[in-house]
Amino acid sequence: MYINPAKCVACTHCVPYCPTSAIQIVSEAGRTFAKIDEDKCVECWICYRVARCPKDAFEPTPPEKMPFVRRLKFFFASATAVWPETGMAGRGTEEMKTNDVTGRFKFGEIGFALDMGRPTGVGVRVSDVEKMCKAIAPYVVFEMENPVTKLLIDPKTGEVRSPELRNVYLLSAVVEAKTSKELAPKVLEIVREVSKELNTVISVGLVCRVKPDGEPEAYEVLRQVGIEPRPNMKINIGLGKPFVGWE
Amino acid sequence: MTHTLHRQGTYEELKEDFIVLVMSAKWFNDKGAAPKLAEALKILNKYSPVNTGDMTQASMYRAGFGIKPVEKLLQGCHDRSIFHGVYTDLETVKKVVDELKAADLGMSVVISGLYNEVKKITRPHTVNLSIGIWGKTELLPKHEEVLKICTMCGHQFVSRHLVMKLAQDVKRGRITAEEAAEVMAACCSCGIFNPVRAIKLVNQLIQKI
Repeated sequence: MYINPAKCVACTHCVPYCPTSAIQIVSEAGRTFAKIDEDKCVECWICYRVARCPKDAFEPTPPEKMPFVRRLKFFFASATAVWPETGMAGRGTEEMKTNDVTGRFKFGEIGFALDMGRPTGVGVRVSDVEKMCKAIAPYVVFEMENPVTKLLIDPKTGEVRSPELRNVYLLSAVVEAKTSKELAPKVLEIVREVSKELNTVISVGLVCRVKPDGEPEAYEVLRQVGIEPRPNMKINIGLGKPFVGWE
Repeated sequence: MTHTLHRQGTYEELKEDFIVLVMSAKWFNDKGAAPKLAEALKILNKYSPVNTGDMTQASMYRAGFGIKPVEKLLQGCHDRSIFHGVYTDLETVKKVVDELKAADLGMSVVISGLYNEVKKITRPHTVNLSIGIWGKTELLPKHEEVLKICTMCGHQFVSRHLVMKLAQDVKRGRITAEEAAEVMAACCSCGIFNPVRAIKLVNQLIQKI
């Protein structure tokens, strides 16, 4: 994102809209204007799309013309942009939302959805995402359609493709992986330990099938590690077709 | 894409916050899904959601819509549209789900909300459950109302700074809590933000600032 200093009158209207506080009011060469901190800017375009500058000073670069790092930020920030590699809108995948049709998660499997950098615009550097991926890699299978997995040189190691990626600051990144019910407690312990070393927050989610008695299978795992789930969940109610079945 | 999962709030508060999502499955049933998804949106809209939207287009609150939002969303509906409707009570969600079942569209339906409540109205197949926020939680906002408001847009488009600014404007009498909630809802691009809940939270927040 770019704010044209010749148009900006430093009214500050746009400043609070930025989730990552990337808009600063600066004085340079006798003029006061709003300026984007390119490191903190995650290319979410909320300033441009919603704040609506009264002087029309915001000048976004179309994603196809962005340098690689800016484009990466854009796709990891957009909720609506469709990733060229995955064909999905948003930062993750269909995960459990279509599991009634895809059967991606089976009984005996636990999925992990680690929303790194969320909530409230905390954001995350790719180096922190890599730490998490490397730590859990020996025990999980990463979701191959997920944008984070596409950044990894080898999903078996969790290492990112290029050192230059590590310092990139993203609005959030969802690490998606799954493992067996037996290994899930160990993965949870690893996530808990690694999360203490990171300079960000993680909204932690688990995916599982629901047993015929109505209990989510992950409850067994959570009892083992002494964690209480929150009361609200995303609940696929099995209306998709062709249906994979209840059992 | 756990944009609706990590909404914060007490059990009683979350009794007024349910999202129904409808989508096709890539490579399985997405070809020719558009008319079914359009029908689903009509059903979602029939029960007066407090917000609605398509993750691939926009929400009803997003600035720039020149005509009735749902008509606009229907015009732009395609095989990979992901429609949401936000409701403030379980009874309405039951009506929506019953009609979606009767329509037998074959699209996946996900309800985001209290598990023990949703279980009363329909059988769960697969769940995504939240076990909280881990890591450097001291980076989170100090007022719980801000966290509750901001997590109603899982993509983090509702800035904590904007919430505070709007709350201060409400406190000073410059705008109403309803107007503040509309500005916040416009930031959420896929239509999952609950403006009715936001009004209550803004009114609670202004007592603290």
